[in-house]
Amino acid sequence: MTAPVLGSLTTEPVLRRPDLVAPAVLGALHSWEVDLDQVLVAEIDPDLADTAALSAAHHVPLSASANCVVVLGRREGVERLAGCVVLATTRADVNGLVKRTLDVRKCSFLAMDRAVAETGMEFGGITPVGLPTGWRTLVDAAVLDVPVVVVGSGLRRSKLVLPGAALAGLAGAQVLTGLGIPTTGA
Amino acid sequence: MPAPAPTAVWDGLAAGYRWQEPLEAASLRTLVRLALPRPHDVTVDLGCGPGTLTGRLAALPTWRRPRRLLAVDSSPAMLAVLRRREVLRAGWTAVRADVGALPLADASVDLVLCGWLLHVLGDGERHRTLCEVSRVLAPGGRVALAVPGRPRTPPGRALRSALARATTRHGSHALRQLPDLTRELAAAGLVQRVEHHTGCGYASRVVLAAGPVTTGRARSLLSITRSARDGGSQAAR
Repeated sequence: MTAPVLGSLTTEPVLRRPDLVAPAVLGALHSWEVDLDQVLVAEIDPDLADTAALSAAHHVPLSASANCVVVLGRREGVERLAGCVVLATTRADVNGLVKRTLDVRKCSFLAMDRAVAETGMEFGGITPVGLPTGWRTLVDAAVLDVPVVVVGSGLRRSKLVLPGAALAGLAGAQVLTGLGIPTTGA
Repeated sequence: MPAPAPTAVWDGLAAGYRWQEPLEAASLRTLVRLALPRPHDVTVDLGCGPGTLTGRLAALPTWRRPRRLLAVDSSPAMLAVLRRREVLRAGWTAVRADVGALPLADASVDLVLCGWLLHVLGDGERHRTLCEVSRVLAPGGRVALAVPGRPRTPPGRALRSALARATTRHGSHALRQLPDLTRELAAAGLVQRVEHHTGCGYASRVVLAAGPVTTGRARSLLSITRSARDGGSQAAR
């Protein structure tokens, strides 16, 4: 197998570098019915963990980068949490599709400190792989069409590189068309 | 012959080994999670004993269960218990062999799992065993190991001292810690990647290491391990 090349990222199979993913992510890899040969990890400078910086430094197209944003809605006093996976060329339709899917009145981004505490992942490295149990995982259908996509690893010092379609196989993942609304300019 | 092979001791323990398997459960679960076995991984369960880890692997879902596995132990009585338990799936084999002289070709294995073995080996035998692991691993291969860790709770410490007292008369090394493991792995050409600690049951240290990548390095290692292996097989016979 030849490792897919994405920009100037140097990838290795995650199997040989479990040190490059957060423990929560490693646990999820075990129970994820995926071909682990296709799940790669790239070590990066932690200062380049944010999508725009990574894209600029490593020539990773934004259309091959997926962000995972964590949203919070409430229904009858009960919190509903979800990770939304959208391409970096889009923004999650939080007040439309996400709100309707979670069946909540109001929906907003989860505060950074809570997101970090509850996922056990570093901010800037939050990934749909290994979200806490009870959370929903919403994936934009457009992400599945990307042959090789960069997502977080749970840590700022690395990224996962995998086929977009693999994300549909995450436990409890729900694929939604139109979850990401294209942004003009990036 | 440096030290007597501990087979007799292990043969005697085989029938009653079952009682302590729950104490190994947490560490072996962690070991499997770190190892992330794939169906096409040619896998070795090194020092399989009565099949504690083998049984755990047999229970994995098909997308995590290796199709080909070799369980290796030097104790015939332990292997007899393993066979009685019927943990061997189709395509899996159990053989009696010295863990320091594996009946396997160079670079023929993708994954070596080694649960609760290294601490009962003497220093020389442990080095030979790690060199054997390095020799049989194919490029890109990996090894996951569970060894005793430092107990952090009073029950854990009590368990360790009780077991140490009970086993000293056999001259074995119950729950002996291996403070230099990372360096010992490196000496065999294995790179430690991640280390987890478990505290439930026997306190443990679970390590995943990557096998040699470069052929040049692997070749120089081979010449060392070949001579070590020849010495090892003679000791076993």
